[in-house]
Amino acid sequence: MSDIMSDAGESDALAAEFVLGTLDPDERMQARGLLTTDQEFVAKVLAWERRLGELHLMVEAIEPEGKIWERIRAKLPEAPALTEMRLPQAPQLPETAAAPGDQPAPAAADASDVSAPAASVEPAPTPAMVPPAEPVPGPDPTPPLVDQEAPVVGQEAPAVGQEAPVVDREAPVVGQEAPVVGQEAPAVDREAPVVATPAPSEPPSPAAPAAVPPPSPDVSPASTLPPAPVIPAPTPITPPLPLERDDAVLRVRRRLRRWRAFAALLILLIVAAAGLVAAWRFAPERVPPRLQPAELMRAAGIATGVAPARRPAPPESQFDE
Amino acid sequence: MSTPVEITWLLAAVAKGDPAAFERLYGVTCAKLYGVVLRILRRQDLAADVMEEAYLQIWHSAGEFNPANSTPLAWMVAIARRLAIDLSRGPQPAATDGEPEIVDENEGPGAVPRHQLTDNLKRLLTCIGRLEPDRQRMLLLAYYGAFSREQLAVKLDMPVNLLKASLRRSLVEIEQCLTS
Repeated sequence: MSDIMSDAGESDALAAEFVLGTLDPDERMQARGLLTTDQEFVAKVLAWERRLGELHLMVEAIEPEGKIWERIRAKLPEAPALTEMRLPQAPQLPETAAAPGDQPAPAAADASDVSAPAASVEPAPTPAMVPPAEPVPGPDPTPPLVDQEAPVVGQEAPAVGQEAPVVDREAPVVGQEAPVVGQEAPAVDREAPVVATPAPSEPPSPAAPAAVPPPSPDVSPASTLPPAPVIPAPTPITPPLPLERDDAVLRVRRRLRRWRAFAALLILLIVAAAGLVAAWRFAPERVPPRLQPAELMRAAGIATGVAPARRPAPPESQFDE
Repeated sequence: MSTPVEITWLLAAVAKGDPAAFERLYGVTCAKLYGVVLRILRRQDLAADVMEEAYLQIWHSAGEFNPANSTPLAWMVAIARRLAIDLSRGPQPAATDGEPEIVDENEGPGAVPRHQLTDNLKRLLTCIGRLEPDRQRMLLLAYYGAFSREQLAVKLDMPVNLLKASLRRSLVEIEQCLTS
């Protein structure tokens, strides 16, 4: 330990090998310890991670199983709130609802805050971001690179395979947005019942004006003139309110009437059927032949077990035996 | 593939606790991190554990990412690599229900599409390319497989002490090459 600490070169090598990943368990524990105590060592490790970090570009990307994300999401502190938080956002702010789809949008929303780091990014890391435009112009590094690619690379295939999963990755993302859309649907449905609920509350309002007129005839004969003009005044006031809702009220009433009629019809049918069954049971002789069970079943096209057994059996069985 | 700028934005949103951005970040980066981690651990169950730990760490420390120091993906890969190497150095839990160890003959890195070659990577590859071929192989094998020196010595069939000296000399040369 103390040897490593004393020798700066040793510390450098430790940091480099820590990043490279070649330390044995004991050395790695030492390095881990230094990372929490020695800022100089931390800086060295960060420097080596910066130097070697881009090597990851040559690692083939492999799509992990979906259940890994499920595990991660389950451990997020706000995991249960995720789905609930989206619900209110979708109807209230159309912009934020669109945001999850296009990621530039949230970025734009954060632009004000990000702009500071982003601005500081531009000078240093832009070379890293711009390269797509530059690979050709850099003639100096390319010759050694070509030499390099022979031993290092060898296989172009993995690179192609690398891009395939990227396409696949878009698919789940789209799929994840679908539920959000689905969540809005119930919200719309929820409004439908809301429209329906005020309707039942309105029938009383027409009932109220209906209740008002009766007193008016009572009042007019009892008293003389003065009360009469008073009554017409309220009547013009009350109608306008119900008039606006008349359509809705009428519609609901019609619907109610239809349902009542249907229910009455069903009840009649049931009563009739019950009466018939009771007649079969208690007074079969009074039931007209047309309404006898066997006749009814034949009329309905149901072959009774008794009838066919009787018909064909007697003649043939007599001959056979 | 998302650009570093997009991932930087996502990280900024994640730093504010935006779960949707985190999900998006995962979708955009998980294949790269999983590729890195699986190459080191060679077991899917261990790789899944490291992925979980790495992304939780990213969720908590997204605000610490400094775009002036590295690209966002390199930062995330560094987190995942540290965890993966720690796990590979520790006592490994026995493989459960026949979890197959992934045997990968082709231990070298894959190819980089030319348009993805960043200046930093070009410079690094140039510097690595100046090493002797044996040392190039040693260095890349060490990085991608995160083998310990003992494992490397077996793979390359050379004494550990020699390998250690060679490794360190290579790292010093690369550092000098990069800073020159």
